[in-house]
Amino acid sequence: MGVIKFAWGLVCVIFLMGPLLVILPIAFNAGSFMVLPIEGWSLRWFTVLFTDPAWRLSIWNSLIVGVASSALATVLGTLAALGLRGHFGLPMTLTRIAFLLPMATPAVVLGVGMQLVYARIGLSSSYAGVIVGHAVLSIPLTILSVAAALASVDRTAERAAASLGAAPPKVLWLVTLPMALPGIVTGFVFAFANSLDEVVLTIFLAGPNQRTLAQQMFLQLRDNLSPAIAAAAFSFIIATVCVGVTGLWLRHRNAARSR
Amino acid sequence: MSRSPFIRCDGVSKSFGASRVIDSLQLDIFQGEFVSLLGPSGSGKTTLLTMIAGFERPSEGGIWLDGYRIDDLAPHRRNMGMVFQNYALFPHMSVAENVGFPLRMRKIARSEARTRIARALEMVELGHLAERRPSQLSGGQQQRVALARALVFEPRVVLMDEPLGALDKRLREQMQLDIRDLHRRLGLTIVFVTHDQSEALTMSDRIAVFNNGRIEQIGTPEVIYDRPATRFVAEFIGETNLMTGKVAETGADGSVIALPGNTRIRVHQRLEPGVDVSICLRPERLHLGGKGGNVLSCQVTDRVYMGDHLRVALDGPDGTLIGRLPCSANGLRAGMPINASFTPEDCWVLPA
Amino acid sequence: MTGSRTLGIRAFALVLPLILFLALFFVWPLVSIATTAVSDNEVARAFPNLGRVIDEWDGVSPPTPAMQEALVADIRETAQTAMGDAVRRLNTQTSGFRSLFGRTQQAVERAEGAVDLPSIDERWEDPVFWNTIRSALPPYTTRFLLGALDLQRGEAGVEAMPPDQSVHRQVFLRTIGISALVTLFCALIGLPFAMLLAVTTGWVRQVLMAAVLLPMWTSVLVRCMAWLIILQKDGVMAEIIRTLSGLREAVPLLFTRTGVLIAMTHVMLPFMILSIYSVLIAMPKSLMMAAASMGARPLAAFRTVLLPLAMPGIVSGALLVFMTSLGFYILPALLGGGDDQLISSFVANYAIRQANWSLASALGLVLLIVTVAIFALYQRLSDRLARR
Repeated sequence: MGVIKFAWGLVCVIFLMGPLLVILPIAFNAGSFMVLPIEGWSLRWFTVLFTDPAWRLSIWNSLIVGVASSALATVLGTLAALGLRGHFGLPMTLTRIAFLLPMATPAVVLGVGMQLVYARIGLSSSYAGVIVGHAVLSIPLTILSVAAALASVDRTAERAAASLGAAPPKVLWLVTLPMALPGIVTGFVFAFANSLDEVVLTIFLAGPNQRTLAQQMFLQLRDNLSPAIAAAAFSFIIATVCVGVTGLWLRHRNAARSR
Repeated sequence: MSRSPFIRCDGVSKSFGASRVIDSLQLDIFQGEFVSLLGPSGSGKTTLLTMIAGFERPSEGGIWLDGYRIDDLAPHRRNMGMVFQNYALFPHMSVAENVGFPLRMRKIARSEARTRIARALEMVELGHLAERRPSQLSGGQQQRVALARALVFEPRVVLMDEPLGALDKRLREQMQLDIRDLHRRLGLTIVFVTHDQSEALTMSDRIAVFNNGRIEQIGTPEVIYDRPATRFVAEFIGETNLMTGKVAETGADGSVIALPGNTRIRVHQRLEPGVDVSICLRPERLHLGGKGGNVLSCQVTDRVYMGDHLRVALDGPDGTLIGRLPCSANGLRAGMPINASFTPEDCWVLPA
Repeated sequence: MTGSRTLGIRAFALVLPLILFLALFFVWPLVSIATTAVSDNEVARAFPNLGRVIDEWDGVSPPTPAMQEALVADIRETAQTAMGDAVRRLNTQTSGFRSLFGRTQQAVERAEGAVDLPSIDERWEDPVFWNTIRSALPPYTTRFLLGALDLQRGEAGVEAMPPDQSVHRQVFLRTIGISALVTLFCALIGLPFAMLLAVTTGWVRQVLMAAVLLPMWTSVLVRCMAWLIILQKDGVMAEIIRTLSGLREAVPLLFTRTGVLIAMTHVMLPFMILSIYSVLIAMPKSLMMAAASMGARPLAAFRTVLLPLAMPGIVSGALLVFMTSLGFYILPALLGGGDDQLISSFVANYAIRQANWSLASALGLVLLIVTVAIFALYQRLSDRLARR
């Protein structure tokens, strides 16, 4: 029984983790093809990644779009989460679901719809258009994250602040928001990761000048397999691990605080 | 000399949807007074406190502070310090920042704020922990910080919502004494919510006993304990023996009450004959022996040694009586027949 | 302390920016899809004058002078490309329209002032051509929606398209089939793994959990790339299969259905595992022991105790996986062959390559409706789970 369990667990872990591990050596391949085993170790593809104009532009675009869309989604999501806080009943459930719907909508469908709308309001192939599109997709993440954080903020602490002389805006600024800050930051990080990863909607909304890193990787993967993609993917994985560790650390710190 | 009340609740009612949590309530609190709102959970005492603090608005009636109606005054303008059961300290601020918060809200100069924070923390003996975070303090220390924070801005009223509920017994008793001491020293007006009757008895100038959204009785601890106005008060405060009967006759020095088991009990109150009444007898007023005016022959059914006294259960002619006897009566054993006696003055008669 | 059923003004003001934002950039696009899927302006745009007068005509008698005048005006005023689109469209409904119209256009261009159409071509006497235009004039049509489902409006009402034009139904079936298979694989692998995750403790659980979370957090694109490397000819997977099966021939994996299924299962598996795990972890550990103490053998205990209790997790996980799989686009595009493309690829193709927005919208609308229906089911289920 124990042997079977162990073997099953091992097979699953290999299935889940194997693909991620495969990429790591290829990013350092000295050869020009994405094949295993690699021909030798080198950093040449990282050099390509960070010096080739197309790759560099896409990295910058990803950072610009990522930061702007996450900020937008976080601000809108935080405001809404504050407004929805403590409400219940059918209208609330409906509103909540409506805010979560972007998560469920197939990206291609949203892409077609947004392109139709953008053509009419002149946002096609613009940074603003891509930023707004990514923000739409990220809003559910920020709302969920901030709402969870707000739910854990002690209401009596806010009452205490009011009784000590703090007007409502001060209560919000000095007590509620600082206490919910970890959740807001988490929401921002999730939104950023989401934006970094987004391809489908970007294909519809971005022009050649707004091409993001993920989109560049997609096009390269489809058309010519250069190990520069592996170098980009390697950077992605490292970023993922960093984000994950940050998230765990935040949660840990939160738990320690509330103890 | 008639003083005008500092806080006046006049005909205050509060409903949440269909349920009426507070029902046309009348309460006057005077400056410098320590008033406890005592009652079981759900009796409306916390709701009244939150209305005084301004977090809820009365559905009917009004609340006056120092002669001004404050129903429409936002909580942050009421200048009342409030202490919560779970302390409600700000986890993201240090102890000093917590205590300094109300001063910061009042835009008090930093140098003055610093001295006042230090003084407030000294007052609760926590000066050495000023830079700690609340999470690094024990429950008792956190409660002291909350107290310092509620007092540092010299509020007109301090509201306390079961502030000692989360502390263990020893700490709670220590804090009771500390709060009472602060009350005397600073001349504070304190409204104190609790469901612990002994806490209310030790600390208060007056107690308001709540039941089902109404005040059953307001009075000094002595009055509440010795002369409860209703059965509820008698049973909620301390232990009591209640005997129900009918007033048989009334003379110049009191009345005689006939119990169903043909026992007749003398009381010193003068009552109208024929009325149904309950006699309230505190266990410590019960004595052994045949003297005292009222004598009941009973049988001991149980005895428990409590250290400072002996608790006995007696089977009398009209049901069970509980007695608190001195430890010198240690010879009692279950099954022994005894005489239990008490004076007419020991009895307090309530409407049945 | 107390919640309320209605939003106060302050709360509403806080939510308002988001409502406006989503109304503009989420609801409007979806509404645009819906209207584009059913709107049909090609003909109405080309014949604005005719559109104004043709309604007064009875449909059987010869065309009135006003109609002829309007048609000539339309031919003179409408831009060449718009007219071309409209004529192409009308020709699919009534053959011969293109030749008739070509001749008429030339004649009208040569002439000045009023033109007698039947004298150019006597077919203009025939009400059929006029009726063709009239039937195409209304701005709304079910043509594209029907087309998305491989249906068309024939003489006897709605009928199936000829088999050589039917592609969508096959793609829908393929999308549902692949999504169902992925869901099944995820459940089959995920349930035992989630059980394992729930009974282990300490560092073993940490490792298993990391193996679930790290892939989940990793970009789908990165995982696609990994599978591209693993599945390629002479890649790792081919090597493994060759060793296990003893076959000498390499099994093709990349750009095949098998490859797509493996990679999609890999992408969706973490969601299934976490969904089941969240239910299992809330279950008292003593239940299985209690079942065992009452004489249930492991398999019986699994079937009678664990499986029913884990069912809500399996179902909500399955709905999540199925719903997400329906919308897959980049993974099949990178790892699949031409016959492994899902409905999203067709939507994207119609939109980006062919600029056929009507058909893209119609297909997208069908996909959206199916997805939202499953999402509603999923929400109801997770609501009920949360309330327990």
